[in-house]
Amino acid sequence: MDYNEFKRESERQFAEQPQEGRDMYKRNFIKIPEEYFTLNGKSKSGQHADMVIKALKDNFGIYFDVIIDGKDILSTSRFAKIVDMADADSGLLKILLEKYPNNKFAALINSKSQKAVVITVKKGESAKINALVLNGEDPVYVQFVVNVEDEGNIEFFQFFCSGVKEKSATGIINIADIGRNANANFIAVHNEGSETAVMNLHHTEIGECSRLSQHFVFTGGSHVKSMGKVKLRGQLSESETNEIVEAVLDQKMDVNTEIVNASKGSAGILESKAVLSDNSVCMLKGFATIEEGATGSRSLVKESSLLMDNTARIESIPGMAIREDDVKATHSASTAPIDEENLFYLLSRGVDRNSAMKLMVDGFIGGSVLKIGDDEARGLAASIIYEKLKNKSIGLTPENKADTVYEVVRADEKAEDMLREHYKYR
Amino acid sequence: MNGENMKLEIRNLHVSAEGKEIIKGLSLDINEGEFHVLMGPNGSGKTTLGKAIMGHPKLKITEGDMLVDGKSILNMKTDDRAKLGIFLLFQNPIEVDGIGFANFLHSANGAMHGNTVTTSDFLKEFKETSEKLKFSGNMAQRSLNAGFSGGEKKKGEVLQMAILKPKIAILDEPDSGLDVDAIKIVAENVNEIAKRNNTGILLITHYSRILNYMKPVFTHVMINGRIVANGGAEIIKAVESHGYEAFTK
Ligand SMILES: Nc1ncnc2c1ncn2[C@@H]1O[C@H](COP(=O)(O)OP(=O)(O)O)[C@@H](O)[C@H]1O
Ligand SMILES: [Mg+2]
Repeated sequence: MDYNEFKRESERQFAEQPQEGRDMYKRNFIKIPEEYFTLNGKSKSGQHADMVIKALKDNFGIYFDVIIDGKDILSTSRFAKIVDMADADSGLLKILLEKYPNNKFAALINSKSQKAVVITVKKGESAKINALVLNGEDPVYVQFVVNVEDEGNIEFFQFFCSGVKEKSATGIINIADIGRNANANFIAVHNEGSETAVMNLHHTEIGECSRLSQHFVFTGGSHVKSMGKVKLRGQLSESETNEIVEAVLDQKMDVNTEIVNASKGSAGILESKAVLSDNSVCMLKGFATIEEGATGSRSLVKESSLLMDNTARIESIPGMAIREDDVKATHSASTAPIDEENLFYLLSRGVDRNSAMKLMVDGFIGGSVLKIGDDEARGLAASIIYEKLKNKSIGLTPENKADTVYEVVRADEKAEDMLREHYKYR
Repeated sequence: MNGENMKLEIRNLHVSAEGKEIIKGLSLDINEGEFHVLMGPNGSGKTTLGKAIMGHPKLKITEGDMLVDGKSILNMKTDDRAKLGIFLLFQNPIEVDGIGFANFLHSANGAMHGNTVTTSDFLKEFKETSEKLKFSGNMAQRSLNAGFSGGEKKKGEVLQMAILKPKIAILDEPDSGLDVDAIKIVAENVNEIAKRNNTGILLITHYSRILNYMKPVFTHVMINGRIVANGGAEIIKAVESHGYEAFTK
């Protein structure tokens, strides 16, 4: 297959496919308005890029190895190669087409992307890569294809940010293949602007005895469409997926993740938490599949949400397909409004209403934030989450240091672990 | 009258919840440093009184007033009442999973006392008080009341009182659900905290057992939303020997 065929096929699929083709979700999905698919803004994020890069370096100690600014891509990592789609080999094109058969969003991204990022971690190597994805009025469409060979290690952090208030879009495909006895830690913080449509596709396959830990934070964007899959391909492979959704005002988020146990003794955990305010809408669609022959495997899907206002709407739609008997699978979904009695208790101790609400949100998602293993990424994620709680700011670059809104208490500090890492409410 | 001591005055208070009148004209004065006990059978409205003083959102004050140092607090928010120095020990403290007990108390302490207490002083006092209350295990790291036993919850409330140092504390049945040893520990700690800080206490109980360890000066009996008797230790004796029947004329 050559690029012209690839592009034609992608364009055809984009034109023909509906946004949601699966029966079980036909009535429960966020539709991205058509106009977002045909945007053709000219501006890059421009000066905004320099400001973001500086703020993240100065305030959070984060340096980026891969920077994507509109159509420009730059990599300083020896693990990450930029490939011109027009020159891509047929192997790469095939992977991109086959991982998302008949998916309108994948087809859109594949037809529009001009460059892809190919990350290769060779046998026994360890890579740490931080990628910054900025969209201006000009949308960003890009694919990341990650290949981690046996015994390899990867820590891959993606930060999404935009400097525009106008309509724009970010479309990302992540495809990762993790070999045997390998380790992968993926973190993605989506902090796009308030008028940006976010399309986030991810597909990861994990080999024998390997471990994947992945964290998604969705705070930005006007519409967020996330479709992901983790396939526990090798025996005794493990994955932990941690999703945090924070939506305010009119934000609409649709987070669909499937965990597939495809081998003996594999273990997958998916935990999704959503905090919703104002008129925001969120759909949490976790799905567990256990394939035939995956004996002794375990699967846990847990969705919970906290509603800050009675105008916010949550739909938790858990699903399961179990094709093997000798397994352990658990599924749960829960939703709760802010509890007035709890609030009264906190207020009675002198804490003001605003702070009490934040304490309750911290109580709800704090544990999930803590799980983000990378100190710098966690500091940034926490600062965006808590800043937004305070100001309802969507897509702002955090100009505050992590520790002005979030108290990072590390084990080596004197507080003796008594005061756990937490939101600093004052 | 001592001009420096805080004074809480409850004047002909009527409180209703969901359209039903629960407190039906109650008057009571409590000064900083004084020790009062309010006794009454289950359902007489004792808990409602404590929550009304603290400004519970579901309770409506339909008549009467509550004043602190002569100023009405009816329009004050709950957290501002706490900042004045009023504290409520909850009969049934709620559980909030995910908020660390120590973290929360540290935040509350900051809200109440600003930056006058350093974190290390806070931690020191927290540890010492926990030890005095004979908390087993490391409760600091646990979530706020989540999974606490009945006794641990009450001790947790006393620990909060010790740290926050209110001027007037309403203790809603600090003895219910506790075994004898725990009652003694709670009572002795409250006595000590109150003495040290000159705290005014309104001890609420429907059972006189805790009074073996605590010596209130003023006794009030509440039945069906009203105070039916005021006096001293002789009233406790009357309740012990004849129950509340004797007060329902
Ligand atoms: N929020 C409420 N709504 C309706 N009735 C209530 C509410 N709270 C308390 N009550 C009623 O008020 C009465 C007094 O309750 P409470 O104050 O808990 O009494 P006590 O603490 O003396 O046992 C009871 O009959 C109780 O059912
Ligand atoms: Mg009661």
